[in-house]
Amino acid sequence: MEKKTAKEIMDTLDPEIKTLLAKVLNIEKSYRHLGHLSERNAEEIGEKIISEIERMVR
Amino acid sequence: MKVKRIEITNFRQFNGSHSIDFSLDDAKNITVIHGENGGGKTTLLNAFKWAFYGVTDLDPDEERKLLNTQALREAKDGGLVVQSVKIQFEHDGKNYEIMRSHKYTRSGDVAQPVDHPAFVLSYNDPEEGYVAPANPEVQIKKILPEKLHPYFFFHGERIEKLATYEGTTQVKEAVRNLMGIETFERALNHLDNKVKKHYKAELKRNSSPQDQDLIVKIDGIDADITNRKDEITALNKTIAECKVDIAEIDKKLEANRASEEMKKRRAKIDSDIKFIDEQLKALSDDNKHLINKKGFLAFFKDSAARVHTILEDKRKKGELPYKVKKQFIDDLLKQGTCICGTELVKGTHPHDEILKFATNAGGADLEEGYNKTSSAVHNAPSDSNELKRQLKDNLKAISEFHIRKKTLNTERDGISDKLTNSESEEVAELEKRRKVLETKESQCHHDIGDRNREILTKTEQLKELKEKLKTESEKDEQFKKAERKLAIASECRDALQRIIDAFSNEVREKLSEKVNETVDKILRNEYKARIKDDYTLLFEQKTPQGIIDVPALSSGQKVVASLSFIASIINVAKKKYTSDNTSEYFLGGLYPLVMDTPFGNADDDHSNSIAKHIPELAEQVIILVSNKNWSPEIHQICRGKIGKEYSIVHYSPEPKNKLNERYEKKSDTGWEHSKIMEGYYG
Repeated sequence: MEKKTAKEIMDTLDPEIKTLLAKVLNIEKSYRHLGHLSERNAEEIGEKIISEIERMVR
Repeated sequence: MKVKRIEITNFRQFNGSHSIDFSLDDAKNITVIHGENGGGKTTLLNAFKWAFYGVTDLDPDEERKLLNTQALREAKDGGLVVQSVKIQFEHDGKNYEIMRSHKYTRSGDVAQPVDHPAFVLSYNDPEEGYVAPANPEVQIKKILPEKLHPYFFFHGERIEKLATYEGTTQVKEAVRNLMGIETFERALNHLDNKVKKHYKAELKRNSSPQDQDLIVKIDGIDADITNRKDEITALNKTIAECKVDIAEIDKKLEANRASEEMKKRRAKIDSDIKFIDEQLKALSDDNKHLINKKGFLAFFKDSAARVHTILEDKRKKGELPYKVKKQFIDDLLKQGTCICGTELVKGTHPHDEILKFATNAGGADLEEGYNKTSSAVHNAPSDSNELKRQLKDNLKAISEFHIRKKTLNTERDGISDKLTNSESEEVAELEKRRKVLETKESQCHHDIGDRNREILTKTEQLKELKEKLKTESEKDEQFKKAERKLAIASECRDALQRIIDAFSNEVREKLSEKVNETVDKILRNEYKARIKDDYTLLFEQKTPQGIIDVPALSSGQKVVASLSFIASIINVAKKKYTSDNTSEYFLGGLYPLVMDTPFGNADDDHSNSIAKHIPELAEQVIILVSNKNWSPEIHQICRGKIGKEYSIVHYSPEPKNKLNERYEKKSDTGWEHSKIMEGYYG
């Protein structure tokens, strides 16, 4: 079976999921300066991703 | 990045301050630091690690004793004593200086730490002047990623295992770190453990008791599937380990005169069996293909006869193939004249008569269909016979291969019995151990089959339960919304996983290519090196039976493979750094290579081959080496590329090694310590 490249996978994603994925990665990037994430940080990130999904289904 | 200077103070066996200025000459990019075992070579490697990241390779007990004992004991009671490592380097056109230091006070014979070690980083910028960023630890990790440091600050004897099945995890880890996908992995973790968990709970809250039951079952099966997959990974690892052990045993059996011939014969039998298995698979695939494509012919005989009768009947009546083509009639109507010269005017009798022909006339499709069907029906009996013949031939070949395989297996068992009962105790023991390993390997394959079947069954169950959850009861709006949100989170998570896997694969392939290039340069076509799909770094060898894996490498080959792997990492990082196509996740970098005992346990031939290519491994190479591993040949090979040379001289109250008087001297102070001197004393 031919393996797809990361770019090819990105190109075949549902546009809605692609946008969400970009948002999720942006949220994670805003915490990148922290070498170690605390449980509180992880909770915050989770809540931010959930808000994005809520906005999507609204 | 190029390291200009290191200055170590009161660090392990180095009392007071000692410094080394590294070669910055591109044409002579090697700096060699010579020293005997125990002199302080590994301490220097650890000084780099400690300065950059605050870590060392030492045991926790030893790590607590980084402060030089003499410095402590010579301090006044209650007095301050400092251990530090300062490194100057250039990076991106700026001159950097980092210093990690740890202050202690003397309390009797004990060093009491004053606070935690301090780390400062500063640089001189042509425009900004002297800059000391507030977050030096983050800054340094951007320049020299901590996770990659085991590959550019490494100990030769410890990297050998990179080129074994044991090293798979390290190779995978290196690929992961090279990609700079920490952000992706964090996202994966949060989508799994925060977001999906949140929506699963929401789904449960909005479910009927019946649906809640289903959700619990779905979660259980999901967990089961994950467990089975983990078990398969572990079983594959065991298989790989068995293969390595069997290969090691085979080497010993081949080296023993009592078993040499039998071992060779068994290897030939194994290769013949492998060939037979490949043929059997090809024949079985061919049969499947034949049955899939032409299997209908076996049931087509009666139908073919009936279709033939119908077509023949139509042909006799002139209905098929129709003698007049539709295109011909259309052309006549268009030009308005019949072939007999009659005018064809719309609404007149001749025009209507010709139009009737057009309705009955056959098109190109009909004609083609007729021809194909006639031909298929006509050929059906011979095609059917041909299919039977092909299947029969294949089955005959399969049967012959099975008989041949059985004979070979019997002979193989006979060899194994002879070896087990050999008069040589060593051979008998080796063979017994080999049998155990073979049984273990075979059991693992069997278990993997079981796990895969379980995964299939459970995936089916999961599908059914999910279907049932959808239809079981009337869902309210809240449930449907929660279901949709969970589906979105799952889809996002799975897409991310697929991207990470694909990305890993791309980086693995790039590294694999580079590893092979370096191996090829060092070993000159003896082997091909490859990082396999499962991230094992191994050699392949061309044989008359095709390309085969070489599971048991010699120490020299292992060092070559591991060094090539490290060189490939440095190369990929450099390419990324110098390319315009910058990734926001991994920027790459120009890393120096600091190698302690680079030749590991390699023999002279391999060490010499490696030495020839050392200057090409990185922009700057720093070698820490003992005299035992630095032969006159290696010195000769590297000579033209060495920019700087230093020696670590070890002073001891009672020197043990009388042979190396230039490197092992008697301490006049009574303290054991080391000094760094410029030059090579031979």
